Amino acid sequence: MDRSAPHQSQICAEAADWFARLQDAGSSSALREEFSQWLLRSPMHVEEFLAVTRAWGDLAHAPADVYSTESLIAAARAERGRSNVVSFGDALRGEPAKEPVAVPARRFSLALAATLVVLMIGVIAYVGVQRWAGLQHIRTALGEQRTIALADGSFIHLNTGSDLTVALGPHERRIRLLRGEARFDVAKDRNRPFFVETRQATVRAVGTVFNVRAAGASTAVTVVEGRVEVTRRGDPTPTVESAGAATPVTRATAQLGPGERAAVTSSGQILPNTGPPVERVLAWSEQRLVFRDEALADVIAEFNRYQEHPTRIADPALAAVTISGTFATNDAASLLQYLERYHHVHVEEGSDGERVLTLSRAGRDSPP
Amino acid sequence: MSKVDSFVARVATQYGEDLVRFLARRVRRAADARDLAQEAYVRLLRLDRKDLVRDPQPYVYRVAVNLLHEFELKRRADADGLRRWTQEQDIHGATVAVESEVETRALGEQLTKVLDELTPKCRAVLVLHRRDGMTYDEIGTALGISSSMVKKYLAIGLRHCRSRLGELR
Repeated sequence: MDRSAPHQSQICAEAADWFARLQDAGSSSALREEFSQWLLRSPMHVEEFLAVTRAWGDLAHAPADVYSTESLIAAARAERGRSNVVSFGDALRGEPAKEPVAVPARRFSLALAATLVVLMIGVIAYVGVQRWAGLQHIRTALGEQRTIALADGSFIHLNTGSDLTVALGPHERRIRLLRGEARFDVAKDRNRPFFVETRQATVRAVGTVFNVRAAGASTAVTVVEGRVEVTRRGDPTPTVESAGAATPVTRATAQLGPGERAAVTSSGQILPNTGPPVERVLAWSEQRLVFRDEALADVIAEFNRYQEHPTRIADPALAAVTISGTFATNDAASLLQYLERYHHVHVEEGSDGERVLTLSRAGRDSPP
Repeated sequence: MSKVDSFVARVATQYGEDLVRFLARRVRRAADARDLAQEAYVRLLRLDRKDLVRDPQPYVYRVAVNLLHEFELKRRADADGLRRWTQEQDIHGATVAVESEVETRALGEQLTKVLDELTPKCRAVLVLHRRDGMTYDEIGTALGISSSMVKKYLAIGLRHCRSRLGELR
């Protein structure tokens, strides 16, 4: 996820505020419900909440020789005389981005420093990123990933071997994902909905983070934050049920919330709980592949999306072996080493660069 | 998960309620913290919502401590060895690094720097509540402010400490 500093500081303020509210002895069930919702809105919320917790943990070490209980209270009471100067914004929670007015002593230099940090982070964030406006065609080669900053403030993270066009109009923002996979961090703009189109589906979002993968015969959508609406293509007026006794009845649109996913097939079915799970969506842009008890055949297929020279499983017994782990997409060697070491896999490299996996002799004696 | 759960139970026993401090000491690098948070988020999404809502804050810490434990195991690498290691490992050697005096002093210096940047009231609220265990009401009485102001000062102070301590590391 792109962490522009202002956004992060806002979430940090919210996290700190939640922490303070929960410390209050009389926290109600409504409060806990609201807090749970806040937490589940984004991984960054969890991150900031844990970070605030960490600061809280550290504060137990405030040195007693510098800050005795008595001197703290005395200094705080002495501050009273200035209390009309230190007017306390009551709106901290409503507008968390607003600078709190509690740091008057060094406030100006701090604010300046903070602004500089924000600017620097902004500059750094933009260096590795290209800007686009109007209709643009963007492609990535095999193994290549790119982040594109759109003129509206949205970001597109384009995965390996992908191809899309971008059109930012006055009334709508429309992306066509022709091939491959992309994650969209959509800037909120109620007047310009954000559409992602593939051959099978249209995904509509306002301000949210979601992943779309267009793989041949189907399109898989995974939501990280917010909500999106998935509609199958070729439905001018979305009717609810698809007829036909042989095909399972599916709805023409699906609403997806955080962590939810669905795939749209070329016959127009929307299959719930299908497609890359959210952890993989979060991991791929960090060049990581995460596998949980997945068949080696699927793992290798996923890996091959990033490799110029594919790896092939020659042993059917091997294809069904399940593995778990996190691997770097640009480091096929580490995956293969892992397989050799722990799953009795023998790796042979062909002259054309193709790698062929078979079960080693040890593996035949004691199946993996 | 059951092994990990019993691990958490042991940490909780050893540290009293203070899983929080345990977390604070264990996550050192920002990148680790991010990985941990992402993974924790994914797990929270998978949870039954009712379980989470019943007691969200301890639940988040539990999930995080579980993950820390798993990450620790992962670092110690391989799949088989891992299983053996879990069985053999004693909680002391594995996870609870003893804080050296040097470390504590360094943290104390960072804290002094960061706390000095706050107003006296804000500073007092943070330290009295966290270090001295005073309630909002007690602090309010001592400082002559309402307990809802105490809550607000606490939020502002925590926010400041979180950002500044993050920068100093």
